[in-house]
Amino acid sequence: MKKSKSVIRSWAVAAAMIMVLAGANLAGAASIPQEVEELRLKYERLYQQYTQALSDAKSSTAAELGKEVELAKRRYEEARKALTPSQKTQEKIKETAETVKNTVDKLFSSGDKNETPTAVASKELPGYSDFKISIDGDNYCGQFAMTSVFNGMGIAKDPQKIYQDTNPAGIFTGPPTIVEYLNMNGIDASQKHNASLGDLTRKIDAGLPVVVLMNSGGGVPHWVNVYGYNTDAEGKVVSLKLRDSYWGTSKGYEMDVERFKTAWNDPVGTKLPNSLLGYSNLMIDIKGTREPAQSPSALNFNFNTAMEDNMSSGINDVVTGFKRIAPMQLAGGITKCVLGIPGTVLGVTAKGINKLGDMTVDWGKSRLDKGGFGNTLLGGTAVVGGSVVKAVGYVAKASGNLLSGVATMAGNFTKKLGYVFAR
Amino acid sequence: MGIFAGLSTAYVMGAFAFQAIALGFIGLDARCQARRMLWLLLTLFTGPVGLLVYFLKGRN
Repeated sequence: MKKSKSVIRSWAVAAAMIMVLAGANLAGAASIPQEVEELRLKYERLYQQYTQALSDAKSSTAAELGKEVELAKRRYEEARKALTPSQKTQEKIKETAETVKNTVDKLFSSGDKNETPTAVASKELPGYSDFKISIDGDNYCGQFAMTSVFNGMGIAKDPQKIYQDTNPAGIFTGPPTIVEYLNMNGIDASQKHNASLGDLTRKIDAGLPVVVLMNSGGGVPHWVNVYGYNTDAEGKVVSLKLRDSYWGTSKGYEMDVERFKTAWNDPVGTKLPNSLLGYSNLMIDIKGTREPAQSPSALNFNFNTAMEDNMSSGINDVVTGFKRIAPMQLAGGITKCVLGIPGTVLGVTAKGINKLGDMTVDWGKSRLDKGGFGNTLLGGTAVVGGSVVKAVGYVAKASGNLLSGVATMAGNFTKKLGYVFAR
Repeated sequence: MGIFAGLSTAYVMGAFAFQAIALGFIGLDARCQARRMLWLLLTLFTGPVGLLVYFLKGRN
C-alpha cells in the first residue's frame, strides 16, 4: 500500500512538472535548440585551439584565434540571450513548479515521512548564480572567482580594481596571490592541497563558498568559484554549481561531477611547462570574514607545494610590482625568485626522480605479473629499486619545499616592509 | 596563462643554469682555500647566497 502510494505520488509530481514545463515552453521558455548548441561547441573548440596555440608559443596563430574566439563567444552569448526567458518568467516558472510540488506532497503526505526521497536534492549558496560580473582583459579567472566570492560574502568589490591590484599583466594568478588578496580584503582564506569532494561540500553546507583550480582544457589552469552542488536520491554528489570566467560567465553553470573531478585533479596537465606547477585538487579554503590584514603574511604558502607557490607568487610579484610601480612588491618578487633558485632546482629534479621511480616500479610490476623465476627476480628487484628511487625523490622534494619556503618567507617579509613604510 | 608559461620556463632554465655554473665554478676554482665539498654543499642548498659567501670567505 505504502509503495503504491509512493508510486502514485511520484507520477503525480512528474505529471505536474511536465505540465508546468510544457506551459513554460508555450510561454516562450524554449529549451536550447541545436543552433545554440552548435555555437557553443564552436566556441569551445576555438578556445581549445587558442589555448593550445598559446601553450605551443605560436603567438601569431594565438592572436588570430583570439579574435575568432571573441567573435564566437559573442555570437553564442547573443543567441543564448535571445532564447533565455526573462528573469521574471524564470521566477514565475520556478514558483509554479514549487507550488505544484508542495500541493502534491501535501495530498500524499499522510504517514510515510521516513521514506527516502527519490527527487534530486540541491544545495546552493544564495547570491552567487545570477550576480553580474563585468571584467575586461584576458586571463582574469582568478579575479572573476574572487569577485564572485566577495560579492557572495557581502563585500562590495569592483572586479576591475581586483584585476588592477592583483594581475594587471593578465597572466596566471598563483594561489598565494589569491589567498593574500582575500585576507587583505576581509576574507579569511588559506590554501588546501589534495582536498576531497567532501571538503568542498562540507564548506558549502557550512554556508561558505570555495575557489578551486581546474583544467579548462589543454592543461590551462583556471580558477573557479564553487557555490553549490546537486545530489542524487542516495545523497551522492552528481554535479557542482560554478561561477567562473569561462563556463559560468553570465550566470551559474552546472558541471557533471566526473568531469569536475578530472579537471580538478589535474589542473595543469602533463605537458611542460605548465606541468612544472604540480598543483592537484587545490582548494582555496574560505573560513569566513575577518578584519582585513594590514600587510601580507610572511607564511603565505603551503609546504606541500612551496616550490610551486614560491615560483608562481615570485613571478606574480615581479610582474605586478613592475606594472604597478610598487618597488617593495617588485623587491619581494625578486627576493623570492633569486633565493628560490636552489629550491626550484631540487624540486624540479625531485619530480624527475619520482617519475623515474614510478616507471621502474610499474615496469617491475609488469614483470612480476608475467610469472616465472627470472621475471620474479627481475621484477622484484625493479620494484624495490624503484621504491628506493621514489623515496630519494620525496626527500629531494621535501628539501626543495623547505628551501622554497624560506625564500617565500624572505620575499613576503620584504614585501611587508613596503606596507610598514607606507603607514 | 599569458606569458606566465614562458616566464616560468625561463625561470626554471635559468635556475638550473645558475646552479650548474656556480657549482662548476666552485668545483674547478684553483683559488679555493679548503673544504671544497663544504662550499659545494652550501651553494647547492643556498644558491646565490652560498656563492656570495664563497666569494667573500672561501677564495685565496
